[in-house]
Amino acid sequence: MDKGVKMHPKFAVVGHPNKGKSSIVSALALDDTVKVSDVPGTTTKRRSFPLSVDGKILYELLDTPGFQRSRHVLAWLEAHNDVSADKRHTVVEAFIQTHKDDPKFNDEIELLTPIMEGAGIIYVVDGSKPYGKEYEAQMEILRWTGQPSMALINHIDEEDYSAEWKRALGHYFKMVRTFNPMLRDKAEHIRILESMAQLNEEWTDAVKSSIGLLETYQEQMVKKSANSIATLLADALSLIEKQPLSSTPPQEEAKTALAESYKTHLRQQESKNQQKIERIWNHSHVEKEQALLAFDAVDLFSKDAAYVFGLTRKELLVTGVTSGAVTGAGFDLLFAGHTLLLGGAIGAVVGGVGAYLGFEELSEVKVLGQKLGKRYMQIGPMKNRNFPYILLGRALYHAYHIATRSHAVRSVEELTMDTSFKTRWLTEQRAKVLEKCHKKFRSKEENKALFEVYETVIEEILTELIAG
Amino acid sequence: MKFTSYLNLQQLLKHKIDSKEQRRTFGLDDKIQKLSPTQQLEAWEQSHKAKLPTPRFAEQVTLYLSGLTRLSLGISFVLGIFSGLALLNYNGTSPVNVIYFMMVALFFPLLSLLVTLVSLFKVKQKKQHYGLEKLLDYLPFKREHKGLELTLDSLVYNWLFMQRAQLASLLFALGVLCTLLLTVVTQDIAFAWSTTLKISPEMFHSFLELLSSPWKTWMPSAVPSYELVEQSQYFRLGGKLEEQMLNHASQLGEWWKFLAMSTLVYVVGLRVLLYFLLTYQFTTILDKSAHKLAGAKELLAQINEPIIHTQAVEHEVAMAPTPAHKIHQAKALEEGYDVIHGWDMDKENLALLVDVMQVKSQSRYTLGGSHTLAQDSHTIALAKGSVLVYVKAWEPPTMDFMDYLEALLAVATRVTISPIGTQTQAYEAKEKERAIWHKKLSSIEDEKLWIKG
Repeated sequence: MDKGVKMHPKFAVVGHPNKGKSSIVSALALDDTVKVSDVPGTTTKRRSFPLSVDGKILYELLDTPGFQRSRHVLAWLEAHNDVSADKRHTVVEAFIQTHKDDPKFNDEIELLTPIMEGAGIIYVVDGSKPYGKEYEAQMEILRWTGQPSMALINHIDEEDYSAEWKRALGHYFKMVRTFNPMLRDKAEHIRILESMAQLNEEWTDAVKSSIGLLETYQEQMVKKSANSIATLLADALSLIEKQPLSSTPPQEEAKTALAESYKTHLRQQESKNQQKIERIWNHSHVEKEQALLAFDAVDLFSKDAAYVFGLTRKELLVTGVTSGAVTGAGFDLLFAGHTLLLGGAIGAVVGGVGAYLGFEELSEVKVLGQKLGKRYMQIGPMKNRNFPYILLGRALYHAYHIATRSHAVRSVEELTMDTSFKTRWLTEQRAKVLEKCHKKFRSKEENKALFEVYETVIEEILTELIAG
Repeated sequence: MKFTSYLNLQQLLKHKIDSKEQRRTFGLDDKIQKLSPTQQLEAWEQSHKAKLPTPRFAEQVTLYLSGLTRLSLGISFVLGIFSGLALLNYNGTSPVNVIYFMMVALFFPLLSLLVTLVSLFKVKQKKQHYGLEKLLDYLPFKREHKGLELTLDSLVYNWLFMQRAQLASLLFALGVLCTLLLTVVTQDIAFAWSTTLKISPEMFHSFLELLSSPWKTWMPSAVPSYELVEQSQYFRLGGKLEEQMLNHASQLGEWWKFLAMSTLVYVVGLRVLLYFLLTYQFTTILDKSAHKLAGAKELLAQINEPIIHTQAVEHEVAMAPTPAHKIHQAKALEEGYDVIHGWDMDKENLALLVDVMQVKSQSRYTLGGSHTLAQDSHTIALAKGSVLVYVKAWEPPTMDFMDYLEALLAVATRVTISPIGTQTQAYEAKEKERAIWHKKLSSIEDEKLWIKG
């Protein structure tokens, strides 16, 4: 390696097989493509996870295979220990040189090579299992490398042996930290990065600047998610489905088929949005088995969904009345109050009645084009006043769960519906703004300013939800 | 932002001609970082417009509009000249009525100016549609740009139209002014004023003085004197001119200076001012509209926001599948074994385990862990007959263990592996842990190998 060229910091995540190295890398790199498996030896080649900003790498995490024959390696090192302590790393280099083509030591070569090329060491152990002497050979080898190192205690299970681990690790590592990769905890993530920055003075700036960038990264993801959800709502509310008419009057079957096709398209739009959100948050591999499909399976138009995600008839009535009153008040203001505030009152009544009637109505099937001779049936845009709240509630619920899911988790994401979720984001003030935007979306009238207002509200909600 | 840049930008955003990485590279330039968002959009348009097919639509539109504007300006100027000629038509007997001239050449244009100002305010407030945004659809060269569907901001086109309309009005006023000057030079015209309304010369003079305020101090000769106003009033029973007028016939032509100045100041001057105001406003509208273009917000974000990447750059290498062999399973341990080994255990732990499990054996050894390889080899060599190996279920089998097992199978008649749980689990291994051991051991094909579980 050219010593004149300043290299970015590298950190090799090493340890015994099956102690959560890959989980830790997944969580720190926000990448769900890492194979996390119970079977030992799943990782056979080291894999690099660089944190890059505009193509410039700030630091690099390396997922490595676990130690397989540590006692053999240590025996070799001790057998060739004819140097002073300051040159012990040369013996490790000699080991790599001698065994680089030996399949027996493939895993050790894979994990030791980046360390000898200058990577810092993150040694991972499982604090939920008792300490054993077999780890000492591994830690001794790592000490021979002479590279800066820290230990991370991972907790795979409930039991806690971290006290004995800390005592043992303290003999080999200056820094011992605890980290649970299964929880998406930004503060913990930052704390680990800060510890990594302390390993070597030269790495401090690069690693610390990455902390600020992770904040920016999250903001970008929230913005993109908000845009995706706002687009979904705008598209879904203005969706129109048409079908040529073959008989007059249209048969009930044709009407039902058109309505079904309309609903299918709405569900497809929702599904596309979910996939986009998952891509944005690097969760493309999230397992969506029954539990997740159950979320999809809840009918958008069922009363259960309306209860959990949307507004109740009473809430919808209040929203309709207040947003109608606000519109009416505009007239009062225009005429400097000479309308005796009738505008507000009438607006409230109209808004309230509209909301009440629009609770169950979806969108009627109409026959159009009579005069032009090309008759067709049309359904949409969405008339149901509660539908946007249901769709938005579901989208926010999904986005929130994806955004707060750790990348180390490989289990099925169970999106259990909870009626209290609505109260976490839907305030009276927001309902007014949302109602105004929903009205515009339904009218198909392009209004970029209003769309941006909607996007901002969603961004605000998501930020709040994610921050907890 | 220029109109051409605005159209180019719209077309470029539709075509998606670059990647987000290229956009960020563009944004990383120091010069670009110092620019305002609008200037960044313009700079991006300038650096990418070469990628648009030629002849560029925007340039064709601009050229076409310039042609239309020039034509309308020409027509307006000619109309101005004709209007001037009609207004200054003097047959040698009846004088030219100053009020009539002022009405057509001064007050009507002023009124239209006022209407323009009001409509400007309304357009700005309510975004009125005059249908001008459809103008581009009817351009003769639109067919050359198939698939180019620009979403046009009606506000932009309304302001564009109004800006050009000011130029046309300006040319009309200049036409009238030129005619006035030419007529004054080539003919001897008598001006007078006449109205059915009962306006006294004093009142009319005060009004004219008020109108002349802007040039009163530096061009007093262009302000009609009270005498001139009084002398040039004539009544409907004309036909035969007043004696007073005839006596001062040489002075009646003096009106032209006032008429020329009022046209210059109130019509030409104000129109020029309005034109510049509209040009400035039009640029502002274009700037605002450019930000509303589909993809503009995304472009600015991609120019200014860092591209952060945290994921692996290469795909994970799939592990080669290992052959799985059938392995004997012992439902329970025997009462006794020839030898008991404790892998990765110390002696105390093994003794405790033997006690708890109540499995008898004369020979008990610990291996792995802190033992050396030589010590392990020696222990393996001592193994004869059936061997029970206790292993920590929670520690998955490493190749170190597999090496040991291979060596042990070579000397023993039967080897039973018993994964045990932690003390808190009452030494009972979890199902998941057993499965891991079973899977790993099944890679060995040996009849002598057994696993408890």
